This record gives sequence, structure tokens and C-alpha cells, in this order.
Amino acid sequence: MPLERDEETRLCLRAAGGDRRAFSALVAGHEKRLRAFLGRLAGPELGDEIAQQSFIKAWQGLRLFRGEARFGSWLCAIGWRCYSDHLRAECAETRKRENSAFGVDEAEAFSGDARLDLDRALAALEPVERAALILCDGHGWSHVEAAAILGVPLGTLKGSAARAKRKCRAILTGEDE
Amino acid sequence: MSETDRNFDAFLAEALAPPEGPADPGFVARVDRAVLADEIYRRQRQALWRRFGGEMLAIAAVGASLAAITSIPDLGALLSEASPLALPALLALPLLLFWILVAKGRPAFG
Repeated sequence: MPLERDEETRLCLRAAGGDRRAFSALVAGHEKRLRAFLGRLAGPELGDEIAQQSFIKAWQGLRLFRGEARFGSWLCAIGWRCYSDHLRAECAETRKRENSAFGVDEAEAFSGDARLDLDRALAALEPVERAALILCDGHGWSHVEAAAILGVPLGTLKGSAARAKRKCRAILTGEDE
Repeated sequence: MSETDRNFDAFLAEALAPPEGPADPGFVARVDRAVLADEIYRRQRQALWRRFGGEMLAIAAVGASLAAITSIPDLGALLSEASPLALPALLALPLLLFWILVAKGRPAFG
């Protein structure tokens, strides 16, 4: 369940002081969004693994969280960095294999359930495009917030989100971009 | 923006929205366990570093004491005139210092 801003701030302060119960409440309040974001990026299993890693990093770094951004966006940024680190650690060949395991086969016809098709269309996007589309169009972050989460300039974010949407639509409808 | 664009945006918003509902207790418990394990690991690592620092300090103190003892002029002559227990007592002093420093630096747990 989403947390109120004040309650979230109180929990962050307590967790930064070493209160594990407070941190557990933060985890309960944010796990769905983070896992949904990372699951869309990396697939459900790897997404959960990265989400867990992100929560541990958040716990270790809570003392550095100044509360300027919302906890959710700070957490998403950690998740994105963990995912990017994972991508960097993989060689190009492994990355290709991983994408295909997640369901990319661009030659395959996009028919049947639209949501399944969307998963395939998402998997065909560049990671930053996919992330921009999920954050802005699915999770309701503003362009400014999404740019901060992904650590890219605002213009780059807007371009990535627009390109992602165009590509997705082209794949889903079978039209040329 | 055309009707088709709006429909496509609505489809994306619905399909990509995070799921609603209560938290997954299994996942929350998994993170709790991982956080606890991380805490224990960090505390043990800190304690080990403290202990290592204490032991290094103790070794340095023993070295310095021995250097100080050997720098006493005419040490051999002094010891031959003193009681036979003087040499063991003199050597025991740095060892006692070593023991005190190491015992103080030892962690309370682990």
C-alpha cells in the first residue's frame, strides 16, 4: 500500500537510525512498484533479485538520503543503477540471450493477447527507452522525476520516452515507425 | 492528439501500471532477512577491523618498548648487577602491554 509522505519521512528517519521495523514498513510500501518496474526491465525473477539488492543498498545508504526527493524515486534510482550495473557486468552475447529469454523475437508475429505482445515490444526496446516508458507512462512519474531516477538529462529522457512509445506502437500495430 | 493516440496512451498506462493491493509478505520477509544478514556481516567486519587495529597498535607498542629498553646505555652491566629477576620482569612489561591492548580491542561478540 502506498505510504503518506509524512509517515514515509518518519519511517525514513527511524530507519536511518537503524530501526529495521521502520525499514520493513518502507519495503512493504514500495516493493510492488519497484518490483513491477524492475520486472518489466529485467524479467520477473531477475527483477526480484535486483529489487532485493536495491533494498539492501537503500538500507546501507539511508543515512545519505536527504529527503529532497521522494523515497520512492530515490529507491527507483537505486534499482535502475543496480540494473545498469547488472547489464554492464554481462557481456553483449549474454545480454542478447537474456533478452531472448525474456521473450524477444522480433521476427515473431505479434498476435494474440495484447499484454503479451506489449511484453515482447518492451523487450525489443533499449533499456533506457524501456525504463523511460515504464516510469512515465505506467508509473506516473513526471519527466523531471524520471530523468532524475535514470540519471539522464531531461531532453534525453523526453526523447527516449517518445521513441519508446513510437517503437512500441509500431511493433504492436505492425506499422513502420 | 488523435483518438487513436489517446487510446494507445490509455492502453499503455493501464498495461504498465504497477499492481495494486497489499504488499507481498514473502518478499518483505526475504528483504528483512537479507538486511539482518547484512547488518550482522557489517558489525562483524567492523569488529574485526577494530581488533586488527588494536593488535597492530599492541605490536607497535611492544616494538617501541623493546627499542626503548635496548637503548638504555650499559644495559648489560646494569642487569648483571641487578637481581636475577630483573631481566624477565623487564621483558614481561611489553608483553603485559601487548596483552592489555589486545584484550581491550577484542569485540564483545562473535
